[in-house]
Amino acid sequence: MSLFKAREWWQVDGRNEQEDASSLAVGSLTEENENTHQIIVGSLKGIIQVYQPTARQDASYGVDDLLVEQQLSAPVLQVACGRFLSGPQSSSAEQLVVLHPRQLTVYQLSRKQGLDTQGDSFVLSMVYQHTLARSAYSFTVGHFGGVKSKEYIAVLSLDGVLSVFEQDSHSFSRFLPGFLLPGPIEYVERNDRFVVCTSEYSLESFKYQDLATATDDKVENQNANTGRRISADWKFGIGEPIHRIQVIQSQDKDEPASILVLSKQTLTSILDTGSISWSKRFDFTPVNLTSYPSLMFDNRIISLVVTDTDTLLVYDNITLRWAAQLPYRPHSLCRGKFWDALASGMREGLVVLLGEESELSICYLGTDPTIHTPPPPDTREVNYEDTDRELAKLSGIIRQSQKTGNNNVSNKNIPQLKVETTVSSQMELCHFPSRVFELEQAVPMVQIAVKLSTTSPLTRVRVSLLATTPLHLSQETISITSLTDTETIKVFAYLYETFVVSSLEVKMVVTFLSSNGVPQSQAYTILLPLSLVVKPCPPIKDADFKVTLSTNKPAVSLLEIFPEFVLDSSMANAAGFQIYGGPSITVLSSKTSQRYRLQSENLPSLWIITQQIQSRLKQRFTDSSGKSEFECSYTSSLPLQEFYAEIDNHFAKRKQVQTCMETLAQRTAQFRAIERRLLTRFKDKTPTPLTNLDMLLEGTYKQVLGSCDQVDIINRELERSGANLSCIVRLLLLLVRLSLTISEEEVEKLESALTPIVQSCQEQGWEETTDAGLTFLLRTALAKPGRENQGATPITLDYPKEVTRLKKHVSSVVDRINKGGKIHDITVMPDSSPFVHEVTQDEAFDKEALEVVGKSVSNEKEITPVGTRFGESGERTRSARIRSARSARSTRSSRSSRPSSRASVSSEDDDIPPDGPVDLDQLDKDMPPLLPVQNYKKVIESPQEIFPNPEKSEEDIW
Amino acid sequence: MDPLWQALDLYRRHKFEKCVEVCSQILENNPYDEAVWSLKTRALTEQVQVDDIEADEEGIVDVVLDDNTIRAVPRPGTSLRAVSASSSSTQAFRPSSASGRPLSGVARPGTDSGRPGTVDQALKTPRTARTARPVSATSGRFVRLGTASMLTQSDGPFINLARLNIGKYSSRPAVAKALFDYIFHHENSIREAMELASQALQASKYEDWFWKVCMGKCYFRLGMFRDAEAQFKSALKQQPMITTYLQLAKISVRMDQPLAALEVFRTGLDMFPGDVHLLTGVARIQEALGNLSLSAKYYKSVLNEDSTHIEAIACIGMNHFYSDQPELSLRFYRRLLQMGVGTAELYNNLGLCCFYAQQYDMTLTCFQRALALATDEALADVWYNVGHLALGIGDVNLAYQCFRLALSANNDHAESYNNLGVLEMRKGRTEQARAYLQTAASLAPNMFEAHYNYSSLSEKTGDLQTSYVLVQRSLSTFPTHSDSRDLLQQLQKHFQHM
Repeated sequence: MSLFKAREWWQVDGRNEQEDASSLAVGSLTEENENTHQIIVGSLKGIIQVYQPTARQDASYGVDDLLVEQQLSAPVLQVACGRFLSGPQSSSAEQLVVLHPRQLTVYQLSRKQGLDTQGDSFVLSMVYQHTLARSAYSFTVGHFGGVKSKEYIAVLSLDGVLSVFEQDSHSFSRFLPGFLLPGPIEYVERNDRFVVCTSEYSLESFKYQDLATATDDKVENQNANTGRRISADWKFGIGEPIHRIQVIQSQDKDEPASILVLSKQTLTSILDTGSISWSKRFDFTPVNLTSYPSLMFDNRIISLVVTDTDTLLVYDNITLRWAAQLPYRPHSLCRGKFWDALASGMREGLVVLLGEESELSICYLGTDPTIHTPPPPDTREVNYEDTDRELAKLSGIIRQSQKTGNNNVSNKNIPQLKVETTVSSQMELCHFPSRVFELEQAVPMVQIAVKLSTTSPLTRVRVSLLATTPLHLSQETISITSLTDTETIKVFAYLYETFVVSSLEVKMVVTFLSSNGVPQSQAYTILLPLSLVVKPCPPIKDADFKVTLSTNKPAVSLLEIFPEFVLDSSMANAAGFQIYGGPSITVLSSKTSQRYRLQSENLPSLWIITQQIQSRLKQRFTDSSGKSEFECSYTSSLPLQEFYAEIDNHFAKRKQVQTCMETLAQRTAQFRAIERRLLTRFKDKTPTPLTNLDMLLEGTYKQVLGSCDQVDIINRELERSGANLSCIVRLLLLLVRLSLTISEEEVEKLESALTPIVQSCQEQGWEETTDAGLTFLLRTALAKPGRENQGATPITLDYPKEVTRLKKHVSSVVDRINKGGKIHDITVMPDSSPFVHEVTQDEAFDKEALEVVGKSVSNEKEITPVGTRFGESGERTRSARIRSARSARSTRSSRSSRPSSRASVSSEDDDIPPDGPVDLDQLDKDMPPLLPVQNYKKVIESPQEIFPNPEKSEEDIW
Repeated sequence: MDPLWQALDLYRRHKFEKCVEVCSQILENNPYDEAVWSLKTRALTEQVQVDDIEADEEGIVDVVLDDNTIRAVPRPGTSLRAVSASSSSTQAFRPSSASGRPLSGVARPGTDSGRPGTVDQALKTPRTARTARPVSATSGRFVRLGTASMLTQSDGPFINLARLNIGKYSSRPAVAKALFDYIFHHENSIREAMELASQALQASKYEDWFWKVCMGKCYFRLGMFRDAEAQFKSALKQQPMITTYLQLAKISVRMDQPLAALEVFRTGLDMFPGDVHLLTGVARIQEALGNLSLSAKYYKSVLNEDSTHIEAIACIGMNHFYSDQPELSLRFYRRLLQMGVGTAELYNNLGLCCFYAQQYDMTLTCFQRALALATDEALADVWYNVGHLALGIGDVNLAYQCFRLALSANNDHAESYNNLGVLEMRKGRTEQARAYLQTAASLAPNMFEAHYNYSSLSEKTGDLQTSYVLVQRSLSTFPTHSDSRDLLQQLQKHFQHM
């Protein structure tokens, strides 16, 4: 991330055959060019090279730049320059010290006079050598002990022994305390100390004097195994693995020197007294460091930091001054001064880099920009005529699709999936768990076979079946990942609960993805046989509840009406049926009066038989052409009182459920509160007595479990009551139809208001929905003439406080129908209503809802492409897409800005005159004409679809 | 040559994999060489370690089951959770993210997702494909990460933590520190790491701040923020370090106490004046609190210290863009481009700046490049902006198609839905417009435009009640929006007449 790149001043290009250069140093080894530096490179192969760089026009390399290349006997670990000779041998030039794994050698570079034609040549000659007793890791040099003229060498071995060599003699060897892995080591001249990086991620400082005197032996040798324990002068924890350290020696004796520590992610400056001076945390991984005191300001330190992205960053203390891209990643770098022959002047502060691949070059910071060339975008040769034609064609298609908007893809031609359902005529003994077994010896079950066959391969076929409450299915959903030919599914239906049965219908929905990926669904209704739930029993003479049906045809023998039951021949006129595990019903047919009487101790149980008789008789008297002159009627009073009683019962049960749930909520809240207190007790550092909180927790837990059981029981009772209620409502509807002779259509409408479907699993209950429906009927279709749509109170769907209002509404509905009120399509919506538009617009939503919900009731095959409508019409392109999980995100560099969509709104305003009315007129003109409302049912059903917020929406509708 | 020297050299050169190989070879010959063992743990750690200060994303569980909340309804300006009132005035100038915070110049972990207050809110917040956030708690995720790292080793884990004698190592900091890093970062086993740290802290007689930081990190991972805070504070008393300040501030942010975090940064800046990380932290918090100008000021001081700081450049550029200075913004983004950041987002921003700075010749090429570079994630935004360009030159058809293309790239792009709605409204197809606006409003409940547009549409079609409800919603996200206010007044007048 830099604007500029480092410019090369001199480089060894490709000629460097060394592969594993390990160490780099600069120093002036020759006597002639005292002020210029030579570059010394050592390799693990044991080759040492000394370069004398010279500037050339194209920053290239000449053969005579290499002064010496010499093969040594062992790998070179580290090289350094310094004054390691004293006395008579000393010269102005520096010596070269080379560290091998087991040797430390000091060399001197000496000139060898060449022959005339050749120039002089140089040779490295050994001055002295130490053999090391332990494998060396690294060394540091310095004027140990304050000796100004000479430099000594301290070698750190891999196992933590620091050996000090005073020139050609071994001075002492000491174990460093607490040593594990060797780290960088440096010498601070000002206070004569070694700074060592330890494996504890910290710096330790040792006094040279302490090290020198910490021995009991009289004779120093390298194999020191004993010695007094040395303690560190000071210790400073960095907290991260330390990679490099460097000491900036102070000019003044009173001023502390700085130690620069490059750790994993920070650069820290520490004074040699052991306190932190400043610190800089990096966003990147630093690789290398070299630093030097700033010439301009006191106490400022310039650090060159190399990042892992090969950028050289120049920091002035912590402020970034320059960034330059390097040609490669250097594993060592240092600064040197070299003679520039072109400008005939000295160049100071050039950066010498030794790369990972043994590249060697000298660089300086220039303003040569780094050129980032982004990849060119896909540039094809464009044929404008072709593209114009294509564009015209495409925009034609687009315009077409925009104009037609909601075009439905009708897919009604051939059903891709053929479904055949058969209900077995044979009853089997139920072997599934059922609560009916508590009361009955044997319970029957019946097999439903669903045969799916297709011509084209379908995927994700899912068959869902739903039976009404007391009936259970052995399996409710069956998924087939891929259907190619024919597949048969077998499901068993059986009685599970001892409730009365309100419906023998099983609803089945098959959904699948067609071969071209369009989701489709088909809905069916399956009728279960009556013998699944009822068994014959001896008839009873008298009972509380009686229903008498009169017909216009002679009475039929009961044996003929119920051929599937094995009935006694004596039962032709009086037959008894018992619901498994439930009450019994007696059916009497009168030979003379064309009447049938059904009686039972239990009103709800009458429904299923009544319905069966009515429909069977109707079927019997229907001739082949489908015409039927059969009529059935009911004359006595409707069982409204029993209905009210059941409503009361159901409502009471709902209230009980509510109180039970409240208790449960309280108990669990208490449980959580105790848990929290216990947790704070446990978290507490100093243990405190629990003060019986644990007992309380256990007690509450038991209470919670008890409440759960209670809720379970009450819920079952609510379901039982719901089943009763459902039966009574159905019976009532049937009787209303028979007694008042109103048309099928009207019954259907009445049924949708006084619904027999009792849901117990949702918040909104039967009472409030029915009340709302009836109130609506009373205010619209059944209203007194001239008083339509006038209600004092708005219709709400809140949880009712009591049910007398509902009862009143039921009786008035029945009353008004009795008096001849007709439930017509409602056209009473006044045209002036501001919501008319709203209602007409909702038809789109309703149709969809009806297509899915409504047709499932009808028995004919219908294909509803559920997803196609949305997809094709483009009304909502939000078809189901697999949402990709979000991957771990790093800090992305920049974020696309999204100008506020406000801009678009305001741009709209710019196009049209600023004041609103013009736009409004335009809108009104373009709007479709208002349609009269066709069907009032939609008004009841739609709210959730249209409005995101149900509470608010009701206000709108009503 | 000694193989240990070779291993150390490889470690020094950041060649960790080779270093591990060499170490394994040495350990085969001499399994009890502690130095090599320690070096191998370090090399393994370096391979997987990530900066745990930056990479931290809260899961829904962390947010919802937060037991550190002091009060349910925080006072204005003291919480990152509630969109504060002061920030609402900026909605006109700068759009907000899905959570209602002002859009940041840089996408960081957690910039998109705000902090929902309650369970209901958390579940109701639209979790689109782009703003999805992890459901499970942080600690749970890290445990899974740990098991994943174990799988990558062919011959079982290098260190069997269950059999590790923690007491043996805790008194030897030289081994223990590397071991802690290994357990914490490589194995992600917080319990063992914590045990090691606490024993080592005792062994050091509570004098080594390193172990306190370690304890704090463990507590943080375990979700015990107060304990972590205490540890970090104690460590800071002993030895102030930038990293510790950052960790401490992170806890404050996590506990939803931005002001406390600012205080931490302030003391940190006293100790380390001009530190880029601390300054950036302040700038980020100010931005999240809605103090955009203050945030830009801090970003500028970041640039004084580090002129290559990409986040600062991007954020200042963005700030200029939304304060109607596209030319200035262009210079910042161009600097980013020169520095070698060549992403789709950048080209997109350049294109926009060029457009608004009336340098039309560059606009299209910039967008062309942005489209060529964009991944699916950014593609929607680029198309959306091209749509704006089309609106600007009056080509409604092109705009329409661009918004549709944006939706095809990202079907949760609420802004595109909104603008499509506006276009449909203009064409007079109210039904379509309603569908689009509704979708936009449900995808981005914090975006006032969709509410306002839907409201004005309802008003025009005569559905005053809906209009009234919606305009109130629009005003709740942006109380000073004058058009909404006008509409509300008009509606109120209307209702009074009725």
